Amino acid sequence: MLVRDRMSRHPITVRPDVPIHEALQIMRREKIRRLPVLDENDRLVGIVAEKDLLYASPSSAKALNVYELQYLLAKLTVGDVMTRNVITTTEFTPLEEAAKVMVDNKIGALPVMRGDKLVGIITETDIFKVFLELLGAREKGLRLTLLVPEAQGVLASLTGTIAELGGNIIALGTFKGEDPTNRIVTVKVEDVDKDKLLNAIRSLVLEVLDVREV
Amino acid sequence: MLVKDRMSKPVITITPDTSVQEALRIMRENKIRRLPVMAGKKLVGIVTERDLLYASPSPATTLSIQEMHYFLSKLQVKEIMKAPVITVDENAPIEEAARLMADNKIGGLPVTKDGELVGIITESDLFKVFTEMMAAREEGVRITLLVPEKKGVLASITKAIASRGGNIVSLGQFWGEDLSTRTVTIKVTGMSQEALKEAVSQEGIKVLDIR
Repeated sequence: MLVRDRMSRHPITVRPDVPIHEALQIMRREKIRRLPVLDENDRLVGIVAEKDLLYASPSSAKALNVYELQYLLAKLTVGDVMTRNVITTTEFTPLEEAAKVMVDNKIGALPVMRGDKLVGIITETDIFKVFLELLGAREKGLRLTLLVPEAQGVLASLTGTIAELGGNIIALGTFKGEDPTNRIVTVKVEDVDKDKLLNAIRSLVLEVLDVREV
Repeated sequence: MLVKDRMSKPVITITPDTSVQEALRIMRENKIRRLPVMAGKKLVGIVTERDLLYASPSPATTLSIQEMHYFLSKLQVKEIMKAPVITVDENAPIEEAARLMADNKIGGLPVTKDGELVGIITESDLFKVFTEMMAAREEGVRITLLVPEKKGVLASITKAIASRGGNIVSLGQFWGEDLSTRTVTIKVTGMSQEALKEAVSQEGIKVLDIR
């Protein structure tokens, strides 16, 4: 699961000399919240978010009267408010790496670069949809949350047990445990009897935290 | 992994007669993008930063700056807030929160317990859970496989890894190229790339990526 598997190709972009109100119109029309900014040579020179545009104001506002202020606001361009030094990613970066970069830098999207060329954009929303997939959010089944020891072979025993009982694993997710000696595993299964399964895994897990039919 | 395990609390809230200006100030100060609106203990609406910014007069307006400020200080959130609010119970599975957000195209859900507001969970919170699930911050060999959609496949792969001394630190299943396949990404410690590749070389399994 790499960036290229879930990015949007052919992102909509703007030139730095585009006025703010036009950029806002583009965003509203296309229902997007970010625009990479490309110069005449199609080089990435910045990125602008809807919020940057809505909060834009001329920096010397104090010295201006109302008419001067409104005039300057109407003349502000994307280039005046965009973020330069854009943090980017590549097509072959693992999705979770891209997510990590977004979390660490508190940004919601990364332009995807192939050398100097912009080939796509990956956003928080794209990753968020993958999350739905990962946890089988739209699928029915028996959902178990287990506290398991942090030890070699635990996941193998768990999946093996489920398979032995004829069950099918719809989704599986591992999370940090209560301390470094354990982990939390959430698994969604079908075609297996609840009580038979709970009995079979009892010796593998430290605790069954939650069981529900969804 | 339930909503209550990853939600933010306590929640900052406002009242219906809070001005747009004040609401924006609170958001900026606390670096948040949405505010539940409470009338006493009752959740009556929700506003996002975006809703508030779009409620403000455009820079091309004929209002003077003073008139604009006056307008914004008088405009109350109750004119702008969205109601009824889509919420989620604190004991709901975390993916239920994700599904509600995706289906309703919203970025955050107030969390309730017995009808009372106890927290808030946002797209960003779920995002962090994703990085946790994929063990993004852990070392190991990461392998991505295309596997047939068949019972027992996952079990045989995990068994093959365990029997060779590998420890699986994370495992994620995704849709494959079509409904007959799945993509599985596994992070393993205690094994070299070669050993791992050899361990999973089974019928019908293709290694898409290893690093």
